[in-house]
Amino acid sequence: MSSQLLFRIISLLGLIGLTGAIVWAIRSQLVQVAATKQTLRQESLDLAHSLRQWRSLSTPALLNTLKRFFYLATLASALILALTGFLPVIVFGAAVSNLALMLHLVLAPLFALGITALALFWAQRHRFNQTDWERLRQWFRKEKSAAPQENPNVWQKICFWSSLLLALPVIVSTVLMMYPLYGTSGQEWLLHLHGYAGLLLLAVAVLHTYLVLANKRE
Amino acid sequence: MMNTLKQNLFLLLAIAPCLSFAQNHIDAPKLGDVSDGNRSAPVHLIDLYDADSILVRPGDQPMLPFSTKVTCGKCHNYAKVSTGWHFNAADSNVTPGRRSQPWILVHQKTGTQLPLSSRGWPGTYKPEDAGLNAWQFAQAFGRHLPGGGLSEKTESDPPGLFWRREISGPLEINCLSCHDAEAGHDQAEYANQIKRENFRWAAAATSGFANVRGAAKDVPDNYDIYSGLPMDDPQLTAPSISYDFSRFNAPGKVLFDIKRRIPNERCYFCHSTKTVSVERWEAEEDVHLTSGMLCVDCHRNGLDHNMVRGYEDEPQAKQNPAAGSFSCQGCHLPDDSDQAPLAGGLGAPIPKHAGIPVVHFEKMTCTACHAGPWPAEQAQLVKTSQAHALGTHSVNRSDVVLPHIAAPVFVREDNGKIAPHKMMWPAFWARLNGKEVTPMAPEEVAALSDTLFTGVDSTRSGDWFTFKEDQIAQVLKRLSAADSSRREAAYIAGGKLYRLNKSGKLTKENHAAARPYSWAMGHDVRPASQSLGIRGCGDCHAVNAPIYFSQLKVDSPMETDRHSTHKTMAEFADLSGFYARFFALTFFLRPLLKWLMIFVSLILTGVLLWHGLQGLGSLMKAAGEFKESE
Repeated sequence: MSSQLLFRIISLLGLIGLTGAIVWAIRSQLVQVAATKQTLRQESLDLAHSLRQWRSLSTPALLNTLKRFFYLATLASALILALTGFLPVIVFGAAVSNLALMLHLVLAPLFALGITALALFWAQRHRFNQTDWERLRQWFRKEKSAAPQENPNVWQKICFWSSLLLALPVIVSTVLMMYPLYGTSGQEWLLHLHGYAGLLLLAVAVLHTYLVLANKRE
Repeated sequence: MMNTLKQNLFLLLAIAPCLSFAQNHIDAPKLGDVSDGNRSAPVHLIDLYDADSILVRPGDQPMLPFSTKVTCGKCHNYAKVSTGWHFNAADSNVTPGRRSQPWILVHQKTGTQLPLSSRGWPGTYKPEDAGLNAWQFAQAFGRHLPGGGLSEKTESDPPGLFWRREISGPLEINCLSCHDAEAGHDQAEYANQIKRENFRWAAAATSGFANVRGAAKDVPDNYDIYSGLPMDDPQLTAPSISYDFSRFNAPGKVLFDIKRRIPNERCYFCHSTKTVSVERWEAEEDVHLTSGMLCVDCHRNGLDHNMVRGYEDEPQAKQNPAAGSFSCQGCHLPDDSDQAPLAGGLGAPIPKHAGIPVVHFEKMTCTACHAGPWPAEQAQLVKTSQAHALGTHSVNRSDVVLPHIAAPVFVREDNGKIAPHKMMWPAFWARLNGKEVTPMAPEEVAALSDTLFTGVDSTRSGDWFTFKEDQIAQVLKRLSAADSSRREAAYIAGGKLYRLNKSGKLTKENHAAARPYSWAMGHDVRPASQSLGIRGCGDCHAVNAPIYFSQLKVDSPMETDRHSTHKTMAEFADLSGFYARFFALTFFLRPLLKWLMIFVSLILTGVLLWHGLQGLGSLMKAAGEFKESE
C-alpha cells in the first residue's frame, strides 16, 4: 500500500472518528448545542465590543481581549486549514491545489502567529503545578474531589502543551519543505509528518475547545 | 448425413496443415530471429532475391530490384515484424496508446492542414475519411514511412489501380530504412522513388549499391516490367535498376552493414524536429544522445518490433510491465516495489529533486521540466520530418511552410498531468451531418471552387493564403449546391467552424472538430542544469511564467485571425490564469513566510523548553514528594 493511500485512509478514519466523537458528545448531552451556540455568540459579541472599544480598555482587559481574539482566530484558521488540507486528499485522492491551496497558504501564517501568541500569553498560566499532579492522581485512582475545578484545569493544560508540541512539527515541516534540503522521498516524508501532526493537532484542538466550553459551563 | 460428416472431416483434414502453416508463418521465429547468446554482430553476407523469390545475380536480364520481404524474410519472420508499431497503424486490434504525431494532409490552395491517423486518436481522421486509399496514402506519406502497413495493403486498391499496382508493386517494409548502417544508405532516395511510384524499387534504391532510373508512373498500364523494354517516348524512362557488381562476391552474395543497435541518424530521418528560429549550429541534441546513447537504448523492441514508446502509462496501455522500465521514471527513479533495482540502468543518474514538493510529480510529466525547448514568451513554430518532408530532396525550406506546428505548448494530458506538446490547428473543408464532421478531400474542394481560390505563392513560402469571410461563404455555397444529398458544407480553421446560416450568411462557432490537435514531445531532453526550476520556483511561479502564460498564436488562414488571436498555455493546461498569477504573487511573500515560520518555530521551541520543562519539573517534584509521603 502506498504511503499516500495509507495517509488518505488514516485521515479519513481520523476525521470520521472526530466527527463521531462530536456527534456522540452532542447526543449524550456532554455538549449542549444551544448552550454552546449561546456561549460562542456571547464570546463573539464580547470580543467585537472589546475590539471596538480597545482604546478605552485597561491593559489587563486589552490583554484579555487579545487572548480571546487570538484564540478564536487560531481556532478558526486551524479548522479551515484542516478542511483545505484534508478534504482534497480524502475526497479526490489528490494533492492540495487551486483554491484549497491558496486558502491553506494564506491562513498558515495566521495560524502560526496565532498559536505563537497563545503560547506566549498562556504558557505561564498553563504551566503544570502540584495541584495538577493531585488532580491526575485522583483521576487515575477514580477518587472524587470536593475542590472546585481550576481554570484552566489539568486536561486543558495537557491539551495546550500537546497543541504546542504538535504545532512545532506542523510548522517546521513546512519550513523544511520550502528549502532545497530534502529530495523526493524526504519531501514526501515531511508532507506526511505535516499531515499526521496536523490531524493530531486538530483532534487536540477539538478536545481543548470542548474542555474550555465544559469548564466555562461549570 | 454420414456423407456430410465425411465431407466435413475430409475438409478439416485438408485445411489442418494450412492452418498449422499459417500459425507458424506468423509466430515461428526463423534463423535470424533467435539469438544464440553470442553478442558479436552477425555478418549479413547474403543472397538477394526479387519479389518472386528468384535469386538476383549480376548479369540478369532484366535486372530486378531485390525484395526485402523475400531477402530478409529468408532468415527473419516478416509476418511477425509487420505487426510492429511502425507498421500496424491500420490494424484496428492494436491499442493506439497515447496520441502521437499524425500525418498531416496539407493543401495550400484550399487552406487545408488535416491531421490523419489510422490509429483513431481523438482529433485525427482516418486517411479514408479524407478520400485517401492505400495507394494515395503511400504516395502522400510513403516518403517517411518504412513501408509495410497501410502502404502495403494492396487489397484495398480500387479496381482501376490493378494494373498500376502490378507495375509499381506493394510498398514492402524497408528493413534498410532502420537497420542499414552503410554510409551510402540514402533514405531521401526512398522519397524520390515513392514520387515516381517505384514502390517495388524503393528499398533497393536506398541501398548503397543500387541505382534506380525511370518512373513507374510514366509507363502505360500494360507495361511488362519483366520485359525491360524501353518506352516508345524517348522522353520517358521505364523503371530499371543497376547494381554495383563489385559488391557481389564470387558466389553472388552481397555484404550488408546491418545493425540491430540502429544508428541515431536512421531514426532522425523520420523523427527530426527543427525549431524554425534556431540555426543548426545553435541547436542542442538530446542529452541522452550527447552522452553517447542511441535512440534504441530506450526505444527497444523484440522480434515483433513493438517499440517501447516510453510514455508513463504505456505498461498499462500495452499490458506490458517491461515497457515501464524504459520510461523516464523506469531509468531514473527507483521504485521500492521492484523486485530488483531497475533504476540507474545504463548509468542513468538518480535525481534528488531537492526542495521540489511532491505535488509536481503528481501534476506534471518529467518532460514538462526536462524536454523540448525552454519555454519562451511565445510558442515557436517547429518543423518535423514527417510533417514537412525534412531530409527529402524537394523539401521547402521556408520557415512558414505549412503545416504550422507550434511548440512547446503545455497541455493537460488524459492522465491529468501537464506535458509539453506540439500543437497544430486543424483547417479543412468538411461536410456536416448533425454534429458529425466528415472532411472533404482538398482536391474535391479545389475542383468545385477553383476560381474562388485565388492565392498565388510567388515566393514559394508555403504559408497560408489569406481567406476573406465572403470568400469562404461563396465556397460553402458552391460546395453545398454540389452535394447530391444536400449535406451542409463547413470550413474549419483557427478553432472555429464556419457555416452558412439559413439566410446564407456566414457564421462561426466553437466546435469539437476545430479544437487544436496536440501530441506530447518527449525530446530533446535538456540536461538537469537546464531544467525548469533549476533557478528556483520563479522559473514557473512568476506572474508571466511561460509555462502558464506563453502565448500561442491561433493559426488560421482567415484574415480575421491571422494577426491578432492568441491563447495562453494556461488554457490548454486547464488552469485558471487568474489563479496561476495569484499563486505566483504568493512567491513574492515566500521569503517572508519562511522567516516568519522559522521565527515562530524558535519561539514555540523556547516556550516549550522554558515553561513546559518547568511545568514538567513541578509535576515530577510533586510526584516525588507524594512518593516520599507514602
